[in-house]
Amino acid sequence: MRVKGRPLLGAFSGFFLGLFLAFDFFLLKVIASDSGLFLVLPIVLAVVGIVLGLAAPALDRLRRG
Amino acid sequence: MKRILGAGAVAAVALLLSVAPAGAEITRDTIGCSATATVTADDGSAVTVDATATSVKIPRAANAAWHGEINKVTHDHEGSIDLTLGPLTINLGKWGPTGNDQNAGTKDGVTDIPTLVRQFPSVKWKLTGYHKGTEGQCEGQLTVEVEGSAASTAAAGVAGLAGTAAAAAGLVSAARPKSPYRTGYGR
Repeated sequence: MRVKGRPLLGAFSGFFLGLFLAFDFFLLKVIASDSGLFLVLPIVLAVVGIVLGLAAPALDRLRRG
Repeated sequence: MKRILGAGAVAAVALLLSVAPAGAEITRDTIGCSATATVTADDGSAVTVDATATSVKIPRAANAAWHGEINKVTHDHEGSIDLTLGPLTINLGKWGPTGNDQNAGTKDGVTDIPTLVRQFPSVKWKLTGYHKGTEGQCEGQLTVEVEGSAASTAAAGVAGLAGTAAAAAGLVSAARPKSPYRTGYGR
């Protein structure tokens, strides 16, 4: 039976993780309101999420040996 | 997976290090621009901000009284002051285009401070502004901190951490494969 990944969940979660991380940095005064991280972090983490979702079956096979 | 997260962390640190320091900066000036703004808090204490200050922290207030001046009078001019929030910009005020037939070199006014800024915790807001006419132009940017309340800081902090935790849980879940036997029915 073929195991499937969750790239859509990964994209969605990665995007919002990036957005909330940028927001946390903003609250901690690490970045100012014009920081590029507000745009870059959601995009980068959405891509990371898609990759993780697509690679999940392979990662699972590696984990199980 | 650890390598991917490690690379992401390195990229994030590199971006953080490239963030500009707080303060004001006249980035372009061919007409001798200068400006001040006075913010009066509810308790009556007033803080005057000069456009060339290096660090600006103002009390929470409803509005700011400003004064702008140019050494070389400009004509057919216009200008704007904007607050930048990520990829968005919020206009705080604009003037012109106008011919300036009276040859005015100064201007005063009162601008409302946006509710979003007043209700937020103490964070670093970036303002940008410009004035340009046929004789020349000036541009500047300013990082300003508005004093926040403990309640707004706590509420925003909780919301930020909860959102981060929920999104991180979703990302971890995405890194696990769908089981072909799980249907979700009957649970």
